[in-house]
Amino acid sequence: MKDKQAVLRRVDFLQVEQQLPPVVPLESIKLEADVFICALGFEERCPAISARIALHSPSPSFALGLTAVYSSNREDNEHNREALTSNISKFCVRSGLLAADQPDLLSHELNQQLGALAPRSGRLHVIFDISTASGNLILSVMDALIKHSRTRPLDLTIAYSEPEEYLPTSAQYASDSESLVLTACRPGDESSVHEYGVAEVETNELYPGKSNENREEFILAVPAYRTERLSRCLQRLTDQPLADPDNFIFWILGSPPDPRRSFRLEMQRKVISSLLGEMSGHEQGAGAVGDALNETNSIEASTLHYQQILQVVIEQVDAQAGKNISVVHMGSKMQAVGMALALAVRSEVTVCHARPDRYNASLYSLGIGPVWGVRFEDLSQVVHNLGRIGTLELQAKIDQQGKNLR
Amino acid sequence: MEAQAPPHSPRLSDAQREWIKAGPKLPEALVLRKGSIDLTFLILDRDADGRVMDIEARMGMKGFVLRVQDPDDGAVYAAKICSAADYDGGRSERDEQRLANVLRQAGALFAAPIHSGRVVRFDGMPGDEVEFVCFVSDWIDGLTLEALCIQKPEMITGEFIVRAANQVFRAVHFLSHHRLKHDDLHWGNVIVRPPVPGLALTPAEENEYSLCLVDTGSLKDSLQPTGKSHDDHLSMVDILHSLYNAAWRERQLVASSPQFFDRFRMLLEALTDEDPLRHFPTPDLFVAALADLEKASRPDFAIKGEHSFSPFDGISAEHLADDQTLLDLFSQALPWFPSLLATKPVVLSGPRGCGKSMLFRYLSAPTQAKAMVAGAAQTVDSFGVYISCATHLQNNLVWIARKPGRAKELAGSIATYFQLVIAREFVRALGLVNRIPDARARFNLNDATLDQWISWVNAQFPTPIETPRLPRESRLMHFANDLERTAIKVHNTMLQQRSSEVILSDGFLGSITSKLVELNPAFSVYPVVFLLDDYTENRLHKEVQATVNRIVFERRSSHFFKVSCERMGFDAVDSEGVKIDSHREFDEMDAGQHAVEDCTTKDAERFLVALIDKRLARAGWKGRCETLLGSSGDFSNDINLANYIRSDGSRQGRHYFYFGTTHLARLWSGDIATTLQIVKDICIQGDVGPDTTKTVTQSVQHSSIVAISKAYRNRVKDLHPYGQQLSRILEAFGQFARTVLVNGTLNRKQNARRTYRIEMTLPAVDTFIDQLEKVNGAAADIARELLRRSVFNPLRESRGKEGPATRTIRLEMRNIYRPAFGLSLEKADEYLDVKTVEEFASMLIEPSKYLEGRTMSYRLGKNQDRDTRFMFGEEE
Repeated sequence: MKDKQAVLRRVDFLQVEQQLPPVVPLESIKLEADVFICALGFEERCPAISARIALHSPSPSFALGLTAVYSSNREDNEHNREALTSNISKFCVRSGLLAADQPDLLSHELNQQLGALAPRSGRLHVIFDISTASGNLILSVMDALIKHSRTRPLDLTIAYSEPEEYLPTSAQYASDSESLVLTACRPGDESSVHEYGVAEVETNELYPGKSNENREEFILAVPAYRTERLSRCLQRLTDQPLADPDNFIFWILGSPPDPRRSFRLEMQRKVISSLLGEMSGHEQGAGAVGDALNETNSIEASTLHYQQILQVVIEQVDAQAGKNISVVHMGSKMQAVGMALALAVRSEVTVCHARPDRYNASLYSLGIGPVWGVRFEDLSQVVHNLGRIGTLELQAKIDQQGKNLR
Repeated sequence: MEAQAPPHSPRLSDAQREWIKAGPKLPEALVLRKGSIDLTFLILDRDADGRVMDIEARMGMKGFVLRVQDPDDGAVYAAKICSAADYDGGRSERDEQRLANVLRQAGALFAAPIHSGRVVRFDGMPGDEVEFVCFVSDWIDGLTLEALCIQKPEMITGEFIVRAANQVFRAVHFLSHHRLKHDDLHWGNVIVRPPVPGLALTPAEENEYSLCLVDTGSLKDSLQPTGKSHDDHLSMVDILHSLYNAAWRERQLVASSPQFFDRFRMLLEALTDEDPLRHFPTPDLFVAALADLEKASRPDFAIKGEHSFSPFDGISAEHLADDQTLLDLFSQALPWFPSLLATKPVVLSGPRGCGKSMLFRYLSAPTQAKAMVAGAAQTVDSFGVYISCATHLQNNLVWIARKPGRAKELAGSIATYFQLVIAREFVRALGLVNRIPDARARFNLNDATLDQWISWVNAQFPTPIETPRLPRESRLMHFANDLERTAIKVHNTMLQQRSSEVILSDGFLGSITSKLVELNPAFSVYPVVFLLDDYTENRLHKEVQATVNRIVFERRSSHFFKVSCERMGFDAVDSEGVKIDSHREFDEMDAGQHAVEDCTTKDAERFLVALIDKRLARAGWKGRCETLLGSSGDFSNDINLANYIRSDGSRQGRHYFYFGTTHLARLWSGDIATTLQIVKDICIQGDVGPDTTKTVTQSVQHSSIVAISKAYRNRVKDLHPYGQQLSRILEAFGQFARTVLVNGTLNRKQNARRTYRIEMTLPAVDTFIDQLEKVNGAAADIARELLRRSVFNPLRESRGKEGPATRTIRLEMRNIYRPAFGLSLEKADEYLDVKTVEEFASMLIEPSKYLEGRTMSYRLGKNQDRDTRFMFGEEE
């Protein structure tokens, strides 16, 4: 007998988006916490956030400061060690190191360190400074923090300092975009912008994914501005990107919110178009935008507002369910935060990454720019809310007294 | 001030709920007033202070449940205590008895109330009610569906959901049939109960749980109106949608069976239609819909006609989701197929895309079982179990080798994980084959033997791993999931640097296959063959391989392995570094070598044309390979092609000379995927569709062949490791061969020289790579990658012309790269003679310098008839 009606709705991203905190200028976030995590990088902005916290903390108020150390560019990174260590010692009671390039060790160590802490309040408050953290490091730390948040309440603040200027500059690009695109698609050397070589191509063991037998591959590629590492990852993930790569690669391009940097998006488009031409053998000529990238095989996502990539990844993974899905993340740092949150609720996705032989420290970025922050007051609740995407809601059509009585 | 429930609310007030959550002090007994009779029950689970802990888990919106005991006979009951407002106070004792009698007809499907009456409010309990309603029914051990989804999510499978849905539907239908409604149906009132001790007759039954609906106190006439938002039908939909959401969080389930979720959602939408009877006019149609849903939960689920097949789908066999398509596309004319049928260990190597995976999948027992149904089974005298290192090992062993020596430290866990993955596929294959009657008969499978075997396997674990399931769920498939879960746990312990609770001996696989043979002698006739696909360094680091090699190459009468890998894809050593005697333990086959040396162009052409025609036919396209591509005309003769390239093809202007089926065959060096990529591109560029029958123009074919060749050439630099160096070698050699072809002297027969091969004669002691290793370690590594990645294909070694103590090695540039350099396609007699290992090393390390030097040493236009042996070696 049926006398009551209901409607079934699928929960979509927009229903949970409003529960995601926005990226705001860092000064609007109170920088008090139990734990500070950062990376020892070579860029000038490396100690910027810690200096800011040290300035407002006359005595150590954080229990722990953890610095992730890379195995590449050690001597370049060392230039920032003293400033970073000095800053951290001003506001952290004790400090420790993390292995930035070894996700298994990093995750284990971070979990141990956090587990040993008694937070000042009911929640453990962590500040993660991603200013010089690599995408893979951000994914590893976020995974460890999300898992830890399942065992105790965790309040996470992401802090991020932009550089003053990225390389190539807009002036450099304006004067010689064709040559910049050409060199971006070729193997690099000590004179290349950003980096050169490929040290290793690996799966991040914290994101092994859930591959199934006899399924097509699907790759979500978040490119940077060079193709060497990206191509190696694609080569590892699939045998087939020759004719018709549209069927298995979806490109998530980085859209800078600052219009003065929109040339970076244009450059990225040209670089990827060129790569696609090379992959198919039907080259279009370097620098041609052509129609290699279109709305069916690519989308733009903000390099700062992490929610955009979060939405794209979840929607793409759901649309491609049943395929063996991998992510190659070489995008921005804030995009890595969004990616980590998306993968926390889409654990079937495998993360493939490649480390360069070396970053060209003098050709990477310049100065210290605006600082941003985003605060996830209850990290596990954020992930729980995201987990609702794709579930079903059953809503009774009548709303009488006694509704939902159990 | 205390928050009160509204007047006449059937809900517990907030204060009452808080009181219950705190673990209230309760008296030793409660007294149920049933008409004029008082029944006393002892309250169980009280601590020394009289507090009943964990009572919160048994609290709902309207009441809570106490575990009570009859003091006279010791029987244990559930006493549900709830607000009187929701219950029909006018129901007589006789009414209650009548309702209970109806429910008892449904057997164990309901926990029917045995007594109902009133109890006075407990001392200290907030609120102003004088008394509460109390229903006493049998105590049911187990978890509610709601608790189970939280506490034991591993039990949630497609089969489980379908069985649960079936039982809930059965209950609702039963009540409706008796003109009743439960009126308080939700997943907290559905208990998943273990079998009653003593009732299980077999080990299989011990884990068969059942569903029971409890809390029937609100039971009422189906026509009696209520103000609730949910009737029983909608409550059932609510339970199903909760199960959907619980399953959605199990991402492995979503990844493996997305079609299950699509269909489940459609089913729920149909159930929420204003008139669900439109979709399910009779109960049996709903049951049929559930049966379809259950089929959709199987990973090998495929529906005919649901997906259209394009001729170039699934170029990689791993991408063919559906075994029937695989069967339709499989060509038994694959040149190395007969050698693989032999029931002995084999290592099949070859370039990526040479059909290894296709072959292994074809040989697996589930695929063969489906072939039996289609009447297309091969005579495969084994029970094949397909294991893909790319997918089944789930990237989970790759990270271990990052730290040198760690594979050795974790050897026990690695071997355990590896064996669990293989055991899982083995059990799953048995489960799939067991569903097909003809295949069941062939392997003499029967449930009793399989149950006995699973119980035995389960007992091999320190703590049994088998988890409960609902009746009629396949025990084999369920146990396969248990094995998978255990494997994941073992991996997680490695990752978290903890010691694993489960460590299996290296002989675990051997013992379970031996036990199966003992229980079912059919498996001595059809031995178990583990078809380990892509067992290559790229998937498993050599340190990890060394750990599992002793399992893979263990000599057992009850099973053996066939392994596929890239050429030189693994070191045949065990973890102690002891060399495995390859000739004694397994036969080695190189698919690339076989294709290049043992197949004539005609053989290859026949094979490839048939292969492509199968795909075109499967997709329902009218065109066939020979009509779409046509012949290669005069250029079928490769000397003509070479001479044409030298005379005309190398000049300015448009020249088309790569086309037709002969060229397709000559571009093939065992790598089937490459051939399919070429034809796919020709079809895309030539606008070939389902109805096209005319031949694609030679210009389009030429452009496509060159484009795909360039694409392969471009990708060499992206190979990891040594991609850049491999690319440099290929580029330098390609340019060298082109210069010789176009600008070099003609050979003795006055034809252009086709120099696509390197030859070197060495002392017949160590292997070529070992000798290179002694000269230059880096060069040896590069040479290994050059061959592993099939940039060059090794031809068979022969005795050197220099005498019996020497041998000649031959490395030939892979065919697919040749159009990118404008070369002809056939192997020829000419070769680049490299005199020493040192010289070979310098070619690998500085290819441009070495090969430019060799090119420059030949002066164009001078001494046309001079002796060129210093450059090209002795021509035969």
